[in-house]
Order: sequence, then structure tokens, then C-alpha cells
Amino acid sequence: MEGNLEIIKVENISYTYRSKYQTTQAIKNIACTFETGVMYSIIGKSGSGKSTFLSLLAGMDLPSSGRILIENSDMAKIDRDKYRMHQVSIVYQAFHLFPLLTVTENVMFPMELQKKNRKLARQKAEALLLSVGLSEKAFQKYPGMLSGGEQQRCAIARAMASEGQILLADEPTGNLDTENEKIIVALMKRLAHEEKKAVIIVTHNEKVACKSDVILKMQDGRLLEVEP
Amino acid sequence: MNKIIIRNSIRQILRTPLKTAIFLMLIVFSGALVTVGAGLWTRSQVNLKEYEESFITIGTVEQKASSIRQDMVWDAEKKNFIIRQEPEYSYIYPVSSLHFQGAGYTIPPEKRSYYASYTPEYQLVSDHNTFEQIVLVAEFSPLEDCIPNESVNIRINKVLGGNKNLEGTMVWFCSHNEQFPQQIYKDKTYIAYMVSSHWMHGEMVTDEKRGLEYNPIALTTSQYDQNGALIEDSLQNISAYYEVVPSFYETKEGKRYLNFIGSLALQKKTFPVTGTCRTILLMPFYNGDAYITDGRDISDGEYEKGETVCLVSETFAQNNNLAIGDTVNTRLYYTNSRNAASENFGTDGSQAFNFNILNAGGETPKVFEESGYRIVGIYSTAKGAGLSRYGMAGDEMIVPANSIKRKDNILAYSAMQGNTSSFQIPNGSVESFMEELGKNKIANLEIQFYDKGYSSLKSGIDKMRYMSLLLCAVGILICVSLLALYNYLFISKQQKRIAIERCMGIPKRKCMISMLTGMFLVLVLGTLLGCGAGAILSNRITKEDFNHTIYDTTYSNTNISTPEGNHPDTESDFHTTLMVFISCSVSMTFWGTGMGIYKTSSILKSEPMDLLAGEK
Repeated sequence: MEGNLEIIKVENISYTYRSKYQTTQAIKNIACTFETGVMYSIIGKSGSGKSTFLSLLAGMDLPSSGRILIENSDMAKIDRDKYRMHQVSIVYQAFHLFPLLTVTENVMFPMELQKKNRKLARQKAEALLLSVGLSEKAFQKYPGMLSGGEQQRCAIARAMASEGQILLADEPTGNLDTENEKIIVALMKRLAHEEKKAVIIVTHNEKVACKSDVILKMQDGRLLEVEP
Repeated sequence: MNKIIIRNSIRQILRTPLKTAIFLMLIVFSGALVTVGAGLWTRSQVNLKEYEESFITIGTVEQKASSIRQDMVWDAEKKNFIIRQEPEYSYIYPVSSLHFQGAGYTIPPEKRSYYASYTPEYQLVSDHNTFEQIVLVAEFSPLEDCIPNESVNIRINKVLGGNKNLEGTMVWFCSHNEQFPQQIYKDKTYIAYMVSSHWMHGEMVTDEKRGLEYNPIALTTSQYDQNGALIEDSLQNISAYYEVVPSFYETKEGKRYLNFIGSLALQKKTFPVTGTCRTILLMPFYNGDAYITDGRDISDGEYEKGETVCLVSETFAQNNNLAIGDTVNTRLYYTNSRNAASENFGTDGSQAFNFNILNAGGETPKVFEESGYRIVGIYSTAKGAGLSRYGMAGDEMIVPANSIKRKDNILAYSAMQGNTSSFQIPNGSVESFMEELGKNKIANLEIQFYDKGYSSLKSGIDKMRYMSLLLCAVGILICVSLLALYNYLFISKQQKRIAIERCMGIPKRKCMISMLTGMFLVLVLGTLLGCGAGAILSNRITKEDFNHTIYDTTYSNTNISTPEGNHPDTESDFHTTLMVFISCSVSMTFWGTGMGIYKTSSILKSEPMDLLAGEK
């Protein structure tokens, strides 16, 4: 798309899980690209390999073959810790917030890791929380005290706080009701279009997928088609 | 980044107050248990070491007689034979017979001899000896022709040795132990060595005439060779008294009397020198009846090398103005391998000999070794005055046995006796020693052990040690279980937290810090409190136990040191307690942290993806 930057290039990657008892090839020869300012949805049935693909994009492991280029740099050769800290944010279906940190502290955490001023980090965290629709009452609560939708909004706020160009979301609406689902999808879209992030959502929810700019269908570890 | 990670780690620990508090309390409890156990164990080890150093197990050896010989001795008063019993040995065990495998001596067995040193230049306690009042070597004539088978009157013509005041007086005389003594004539002169040892008896005795009689003693000799075999006397059929005829003193018999008279003078300026291989083997030193008041003991090295150093009695040093470093000259002229010096030389100057100081040739023994001994220590004796079997002799000098190169002119010899034969074995090894002795089938040796109650004390300490080990083991078990539980709760169960942190790009090392900081602080706090409380408690228990032990040591038959010496050293106690506290707290923290690091490392080996998959 015009004006958008090709940030991720996937070159024929495969990934095999190896456990003591079996070997499973979860990803089979996938090639594609991802640009900033676009919201992508990866859809497919359970076990199709979409979450594994997302994890590989997040740099949580390396493909067994092929390579992933991040701004033309091979992920295998870059510092993946730094990549995860500065360039990519992840939102999970299960939220994965720190249960013993308050909502604000959860959002502040990535900024503090990036050595931002604590006071500024707090201000920004509160702003982000407000922007995702959480009220001030929620700021000092622990995640366990919030509803699923609120927790997911907090998780998105934390993802936004890191200011990475890539936002990955694994079934972000999986545990949410329809109302919250709409809010989260809208937020994702805003991040893609207004803040020029590459938003990649793994979902099996077709309603969510329909809201995306690009849909990637996966089956048995393969990428079947890409719908613009 | 570290700051925020540490802060968040602590924050998260503090936000689970109940879990943290329970863990803290349990760590405090197990730390206290471990420290009490370790403290008591250390104290028992220290006590045992102190006791090992203070207590000494000595064994004395006495060869039992293989039979008793019954000698028929005539008693002139009873006009009958009396029975005198003498032990007989079919075989005399050499000391080497005690060198069997498994004996494990600390100090090998020795059979001590003492050596008579003639040193007229010294003032001795025997200078005040009054044996002249008792012994008498004199020429005499009976008032009537008679057979001295009962008390008869004799006139002392000339005193050659002994009480000079008796010259010209009349005394009662009886050859008490001869059934058929030779007749003596009033116009003849006789010589005899006499001792007044019986009350007068016989027809001459009236109510007005009562007193002691003098009994003649034959001047037989008892010299032994190096193997303990008796050397035959150069004179046979020795009589208790002889007629003094012209040129009598030219005869062997006459010369023997002259030599004997010489030996009496020699005897008075003689002090005993005891050769040993350790001072502690001498029972008075072991019992604490003798102790060094100035200088030091003869060192092990000096004993081994046989250096010419000595311990002298305080009296001897004072009488002769001797001090540490001064030299005492010795001229050894006979050896006694039967008696302890204290049996023959009393601390009050008394002397008693059951042998004549004459060699088999009837001559006064010649000096066989002259030396100069440097005084390294002066000892005092707490008690004992006269002659005793287990005591110190008057003016007894103690030297390394190895310093005496020759053992000559042996005038007394016997099998091993309890007061002259001893050894040292490690404390607590009496049973194993006796077991090994039994295996070697050495019969007729009576071994008496002295350990001053060590066995009883050790049994008490062992109980304390087992109890402390049990406490320690239970504490360690609880502690390890706790740490494992803690690892499970705070690390394994927080795999998700590690996964999130890794997903957020926190490096593994910092994830480790994040996981362990809070735990480490709680662990350190818990161990400090627990180990501190444990150290204080163990200190109290040991102090109370020690006081109890002081009272209990009354069954120890002697003091080995001054009472002050038995009190625990407060500073040393403090250091011991501190060391136990440091060791326990550091060990627990080390183990806890180690277990945490191990667990976290194993989790961090997995990629974040696998960790999250595991969470699902």
C-alpha cells in the first residue's frame, strides 16, 4: 500500500516442534510481507499454526528453516530481546498482565524498561489507559479486579506504551463479549491507521477478520491465500 | 533497567503478604532449628576437643604372679616358723610384649627404672635422715657366752656405722630369724649389721627390762644383669655376724662390711633420678598431686631425642638455689628396676631399702654415668610426705629415659608393676584396646585404666551430639523442603511471569534478578532472624548444660587443672556462636539462592513461546 513501510518479510519459513515423543511441523514454507499502517488478520482453524506463526513474528523463537527479515535485518542475527523490547508488542487472548502490579504499573513497565522517566511514564500510562477506554478508577486496581474486556484494554495500552512499530495480537477478543470485541477491534484499527503500526491479529473470529485490511488464511501450517 | 526490575520484584513479593509472611516464619523456624542443632553440635565438638586435650587415659600394667612361694622364716620369739609369701613369676614379660597390632598407643608402654645419683655437693632432704638411729654396724661382745636365739645382752665395742652414741653401751641382741644361730663368746669380738626391729624376748626379759632388740642381717647382695637374671653373690653361706679376728677386714667378708659402711654414707647423699618417656605417665602428675609451678614440662621432642633436661622438685631447687636454666649434675651409680623412687625415698627424707647397696662382688657400685641436666621445670607436690607406692620421692628428678645411655648396676629388678609400668591410649579406646589385648592372648597382665571419668563425660557429650545432629538434620530437612516449596510457589508457579517478561524483551539474566530478588531478601531476613535466634538459644542451652556438667564432674577422681581452667572461655564461646550463626545463615542463603537460580535457569532455558504454551 502506498506510503506504508514494509517492516516484516517472511521468506519461506518452516517450524517444527520437537518434544521427547514426537515431532510436529507447525509451519510449512510460509512467505509473505507485513507493512506498517495495515491491520492484518490471520485466520484458520485450531491447530492450523497461526499462533505459532505469530510467535515467530514476535521473535520468541526462530524458524527451523527460512528467515524472517525485520526492516531487512535477519531476525536470527539481531538481538531478539531488544527487538521484543523496542519494536514489537504482543497482546494475548489470556491478557498476560502482571497480576501483582496495578493496571498503571503494568502499562508503565515497558516504558520503565526503556528507561523513561518514571513520572512521565506514569502520565503516559494514564493517558493510554484513558485512550483505551478505562476509567481512572481502574488505574490502581490489580488486573484480577477487572473484567476481561478491561484487562484486554489494559494489555493493549501496555502494548501501545512500548511504541514499537509492530503490534501482534493472539486472539485478542477470544475471551470478550461482543461489545468489548468491537471496542478492541476499533482500537487495533486505530493503532494501524492512525499510529502507523503494523497490526497483526490471529483470530478465528470472522467478524474480527472482516474488519482487517488484509486477511491471511492458514491451514495445516500453510498459508493458503491472502485477501486484500 | 535493574532498578525497576528489583523494585518490581520486591513490590510483587510484598503484595503477597500472607504467603511471604508464612514463608518468612517457616524460614525463621527452620533457620533457628538448624542453628540450634549446629550450635549444640559445634559446642559438643569443642567440648569434646577440650576434654580430649584435658583428659588423658592412662593404663598401668602389673604382671600377676604365676604362683606364690611360701618361705618358712624362723621367729625366735614364737619359737616357730612363720610363713612369708613371695610372688613368683614363671616368665617375666618384657615391655615389648605389649607392642601388639591394634594397640594404638598414644604413648607406648614403658617400664620405668630409677637411678641413684650420688651428689654430695647438693643439699638433700635425706640430709635430715635419721636412719643412723635405726641401723647399726658395730663390733660387739656378749656379756656372757650364749647362743643369741633370744634376746641377749651385748656390749657395743665400736660403732663402725650408724648411731655413734651406742658405743660403749649395752643393747639387746637376737639373731631373730635363725633357728640355730652360732654361739657367741664373751671374750670374743663380733661384727654385725643390725637393725632394731623387734621387741626383746626370752628368759632375760623382766618387767624392768623392756625394749627393742637389735637383729643382725646378713650382707647378701642382689645384683641383676641387663636381662633381669640374678647375678650370683661372690660369697656363699653368708652369716649374719662374724667374729672379728686379726686381719678380718682383709677377708672378703670383712671388706664387705667396710664397703657396706661406705655405702651408708653414699646413700645419704643420694637422690633418685627417674627416667620416663612422658611426665604424664607418672601417676602423681597424672593425678594432679604433682604439678609444675615454674618453667615448663619436658617437651615431646626433648623426650624423644633424650635431651639432658630435667624437672626438679621445688624443695630441691630451693635448698640448692637452683632456677630454670641451671644445671644439675648427676652421677648415677645403681639402677632400681623394681621400685618406684617413692618407695625408697620419702619426701620427708626417710629412706627404706629392701636390698643392699652393694654389687654381686660385695663392692659399692661404681658411677656408670655422669651428666649435667638443664632444669626446664620445677614441680611441687600437693601432698604426701613419707614413702608411698604411687607418689613422688624426696628430691626426685625427672629426666627423659632416652637421656640415660646406660642402665648398669641393677640392684633391684622385678616384673612390671602398676607404679612403674604404664602407657597412654586415646580417650575412649579402652574397650577396643582390651579387645585387641585379648586377641593377642597375653595372660597374667593386670591392666588398670585411669581416665578421670572421661568415658562418662563422653557418653553425655555423645548424647548431646546425637541430639544436636538430629535437630540439625530435621532443620535442614525442613529448610530444604521449604526452599523447594518456595521455589515451586515463587518460581515454578510464576512461569507465566517469566514468559511475559521474556516476551517484553527482558534478558534472561535480568529475568533471573526479577524472580530472585524478592525471594532473596525474604530468605536473608528469615535466615538472619532464625539463625540469630537459634544461635542465642544454642548458646543458652550450652551454657546451662556446661554449668550442669561442672557439677557433674565431681565423679572425676582428680582435678586435671585449676577450677578456673574448667570454665568455658566467654570470648571463645562468642566466636563459636558467631561462627555458627554466620555459617548457618550463609549456608541457608546460599542453598536457597542456589536452588532458586537452578530452578529459574531451567525455566529460562525454554523459549518464551514454549513457556506460554506451557501456561496454556
